[in-house]
Amino acid sequence: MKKYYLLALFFAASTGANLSAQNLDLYGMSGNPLSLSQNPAAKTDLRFHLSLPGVATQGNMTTPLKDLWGDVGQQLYFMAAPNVGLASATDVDLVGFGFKRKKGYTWVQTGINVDARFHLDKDLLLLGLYGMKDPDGVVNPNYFGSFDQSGLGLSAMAHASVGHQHAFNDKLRVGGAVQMHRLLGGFQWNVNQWELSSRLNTATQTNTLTWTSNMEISAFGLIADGAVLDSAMDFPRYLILGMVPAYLRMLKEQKDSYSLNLGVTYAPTKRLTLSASSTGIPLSRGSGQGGVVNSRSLQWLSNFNYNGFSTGFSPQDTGTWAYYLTNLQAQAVDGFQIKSAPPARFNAPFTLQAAAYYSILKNHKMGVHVAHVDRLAGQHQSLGFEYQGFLGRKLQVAATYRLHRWDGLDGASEVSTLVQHRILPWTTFHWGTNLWLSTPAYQNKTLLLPANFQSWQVTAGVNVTLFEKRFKEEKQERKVAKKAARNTIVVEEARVDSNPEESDIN
Amino acid sequence: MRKVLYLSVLFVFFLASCQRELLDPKDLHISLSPGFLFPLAHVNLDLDDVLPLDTVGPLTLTDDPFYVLTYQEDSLAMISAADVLQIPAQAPVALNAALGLVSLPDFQSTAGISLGVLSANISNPSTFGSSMASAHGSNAPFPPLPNQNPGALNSITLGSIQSADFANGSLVMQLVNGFPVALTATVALADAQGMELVTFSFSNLAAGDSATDGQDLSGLTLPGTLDVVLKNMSSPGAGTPGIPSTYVAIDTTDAIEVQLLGSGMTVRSATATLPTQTVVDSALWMGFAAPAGVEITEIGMLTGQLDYSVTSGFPEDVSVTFSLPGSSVNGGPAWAQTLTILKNSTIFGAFPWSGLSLDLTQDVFQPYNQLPLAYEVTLLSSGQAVTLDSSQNIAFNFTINNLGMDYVYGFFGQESVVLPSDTIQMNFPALDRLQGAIVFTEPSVEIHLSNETNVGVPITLDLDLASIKPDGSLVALTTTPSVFNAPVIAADLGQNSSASVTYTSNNSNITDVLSWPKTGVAFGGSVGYNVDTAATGRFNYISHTSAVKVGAQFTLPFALTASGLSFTDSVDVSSLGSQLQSDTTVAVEAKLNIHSISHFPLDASLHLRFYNSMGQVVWTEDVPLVHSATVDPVTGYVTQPTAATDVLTLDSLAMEQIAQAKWLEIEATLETAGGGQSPVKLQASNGLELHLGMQVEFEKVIL
Repeated sequence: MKKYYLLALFFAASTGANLSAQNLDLYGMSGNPLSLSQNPAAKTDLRFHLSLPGVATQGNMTTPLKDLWGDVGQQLYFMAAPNVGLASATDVDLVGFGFKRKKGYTWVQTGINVDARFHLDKDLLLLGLYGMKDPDGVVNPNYFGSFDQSGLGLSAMAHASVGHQHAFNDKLRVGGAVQMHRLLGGFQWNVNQWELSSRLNTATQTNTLTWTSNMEISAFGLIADGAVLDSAMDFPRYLILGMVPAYLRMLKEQKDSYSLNLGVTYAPTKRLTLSASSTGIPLSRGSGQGGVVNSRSLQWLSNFNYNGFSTGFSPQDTGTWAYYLTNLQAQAVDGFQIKSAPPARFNAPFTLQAAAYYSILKNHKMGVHVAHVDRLAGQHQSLGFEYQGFLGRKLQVAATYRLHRWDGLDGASEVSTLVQHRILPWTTFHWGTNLWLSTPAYQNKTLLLPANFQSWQVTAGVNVTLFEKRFKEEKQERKVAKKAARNTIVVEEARVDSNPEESDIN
Repeated sequence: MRKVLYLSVLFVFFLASCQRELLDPKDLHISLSPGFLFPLAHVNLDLDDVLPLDTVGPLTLTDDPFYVLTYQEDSLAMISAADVLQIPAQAPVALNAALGLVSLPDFQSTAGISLGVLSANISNPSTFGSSMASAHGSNAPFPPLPNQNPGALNSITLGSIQSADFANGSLVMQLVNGFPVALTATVALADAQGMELVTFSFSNLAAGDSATDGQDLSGLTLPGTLDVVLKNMSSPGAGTPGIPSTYVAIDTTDAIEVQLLGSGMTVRSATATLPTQTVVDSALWMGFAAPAGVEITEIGMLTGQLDYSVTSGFPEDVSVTFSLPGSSVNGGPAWAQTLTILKNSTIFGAFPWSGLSLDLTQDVFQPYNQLPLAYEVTLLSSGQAVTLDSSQNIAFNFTINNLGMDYVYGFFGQESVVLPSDTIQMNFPALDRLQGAIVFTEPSVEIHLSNETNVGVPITLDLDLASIKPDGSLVALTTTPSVFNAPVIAADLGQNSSASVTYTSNNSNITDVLSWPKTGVAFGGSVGYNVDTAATGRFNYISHTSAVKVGAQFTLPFALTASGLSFTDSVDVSSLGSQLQSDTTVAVEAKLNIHSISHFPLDASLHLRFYNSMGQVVWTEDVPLVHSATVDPVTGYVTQPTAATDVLTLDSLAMEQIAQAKWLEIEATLETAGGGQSPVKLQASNGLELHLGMQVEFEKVIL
């Protein structure tokens, strides 16, 4: 059995797959050092850990699948979300380790945060589906469409953090970590303003189309240094030609940004535990502006009105496509300009979390967990009702019913679980997902999709951990007591115990 | 307890799984049905854009107060003086003039016969001689003399004549009796051979008295010295012997004087001293070469010269005077020139004739094309005896060269020049398909002649102008030949004048000629000079500055009616139909909004007719393009614009029908306001605003 676990670990390590992530279910998980990334004051009960490389991914759509299902166009009309899109956050944790010394625990962790988001404004999709029609299907001569809820963002940011927590007493634990971030690559397309409107001129019975846009594109690591971007066509040219040779230089010249993680855990009673934390608090020295250099940004401004092809009469020109297109192009080009813009911000993920757990039994607790996440992939607030407990010596389970709010809109609720196995005496493997309510079904030879599907989360990780010595000591005491009570049948009550018994120190 | 919790969790999971909602992919529908409204074009069209004003000729388009197209060509044809009359080179003229009869000067010569000489030759009485000698110096009786011939007692000359063959003349002898007695005698003049050539008779000439006797010299040839022969001489004597009182004074030196007077003498030949005299005085009719049919009566020379050569065979130097009767030099006296030619010599030269006016009418039998050249040859006496003969001559050669006329009067003949005819084809494939008619109501054609300076020749212009109908028949402009430059008045020479003839709708059918449709215009004609001399006379003139410009002005005011004007074309739309049929998922609806604000006095529409392969109409659409503005039917001017909005809609039903079409027939119709009945006047300010908008809707099912 152990062989299989070792093989799985080797495979995971060699492929660099799946170790740790910001899975909210990990927030109150015992014996998992990755909870320190979310709460520097988390009570891990560890005296040593070694994190192996891994990844966790989470993504969401702007709206549950059911809100788009059916007549897609009509659904879009009534959709509450302003846009349709995808966002995903993938956290790749690289190597980390930590150790306990006296009342403190110190750790180092490295990783890469990869964020992506792509949204298209609902009005833009409706423009493609229905054009300038109103909900009644009639072309509106005074059409107005605003597409500013569109956007695209990609970023890959490496981080290295050094943290330390100190347990003042059995109740109060405070921790903090300093993170150093370096942007590996980023691209953003932000739309500040993007409108298409039509206005009917009653005198001429024709309409005027007005296009207004104010967009910015920022790219890091993708544009050659020294590129002169005078037009839109320069952008892809330098993108293609300059990427590889310039990238390493840009990376080398890139300045680091810093952020701070803070956390506190307070157990006023033996059964109640309160915790609060914040990660990714921007620090100065580059972080104020996002800490990005070697980033190229362009601001595309356009504002032109199209009134149709206006002409007097010129026998040599009228009637030719060349004249028409030249006239049309002149109208478009005149209202179009590109200018440099300050680079976009590429900030480290920022979170605010708070939780309250109550031990209903020993090694079983339930609680409430509130989280706010702000990163390139989007803003996310959640309220989770969690259960964490040990089902046996080697199995720890966390189950949560979570309510989500994605970018200000209520999302579908979900049930997520996280399971942590002790696969070896000093090695744990955890994995989790929230797809329990979002798995497709197969009925009558038809693959059916979950209506409530909006987000996904897959997490897996392997840690090498050593628990605190007191657990070993307590285990030995229990052995002795067991021995003493071997001749009698005693049902012991479950206690809230902060140290799991399945971690064999050796 | 643990197992209970574990099972509870699992139960929750399964419960949640059973109650979740599932979506069937078959319920997912994505269909595109976009509709767009966008402006297509705004066209602001003034007639000034289509018909820009142009004031730079010869084709001008003005707008005062409405469009007028004018084509003006001032020099359609140029007729210069050389075109009207070209005087050919003049042939040389030669003349020989004989000396003819020459006048000799009158002479008077005297010869005396003394008594002494006479008494020596009196034979009867034989003592006459001695008696006279003895009585010399005293008074004595003069014996009577019986008729007897004393003979040549002296000689006498004929002045400067050494010999002469007289054609005319008279010789008068006066005998003066210086004897103291009366005489009767015949005096004969004899040559050296004793031949008596001329005799004179005197009878009973009293002593101291004289008497004359004359003889005609015609036909006589006399030497210059003649013997004086007395014959048939007698005298009654004087004094009775013995009566001294009857005696007469006897002087042997007393003489009878013979005075000879020659006068009025002309000779055929002679050797004599000639007086200066005109021997030839005549005139030469120099023919003036002119083109056939041209009768020149007067010519003013701008340039020219009379080249001459004179060869004299006369025995004396001569003075030759040439003159042109009736001529005038620069308005002054007649031309005359005198040359002096040495005897038996030749001279060459040229008389400049610039500024000379020549009268060629002096021959009543041919009062034109003839120039009288008078010449007078005067012998210049050298005072020496010369030998002359009437056959001696003087030769003249004349040639008029470098003749450049200043003006010419006369009659320049009748001529007709056919103008080059041509046909202007107006084949425009697009217009060939244009049906209907356009009528310009106020066209005009003006032909004008501009004389700078006047050409005194009546010019008859016969213009042929016709337009060609599509069926090939002609619509000819009804005109009559027009006569210009008549009457011809000499006082107009060198002046400028102009005249014109205009063809309008009032005096011709030009409206019909210029109405559309026409496939071409044929033109030609002729220009004639002096066509009708009975009406215009036979007096012409021309000067070296004369020139006639024939110009034309074509005026086409854009006051017109257009009715039933249509243009039809066909387009193969079978590919469109097949495309519409093949793409069944796409349904198209298109609307074209046409909002027009029209100042045009025209109605224009498009009629679309779709035909299938069987020739049946499957769909029709009528699209009004231009709505006529309000036009004042009296003035023809636009008074108020017309605004309208028309919509051409092609919905799915139309698309379905059009998909079956193979041919699209497009008919464009155009008509002036008021159904094309009243003329409308087009102005540059007539404008058209077109605002085109397009609304399109598509539909395509994706899922």
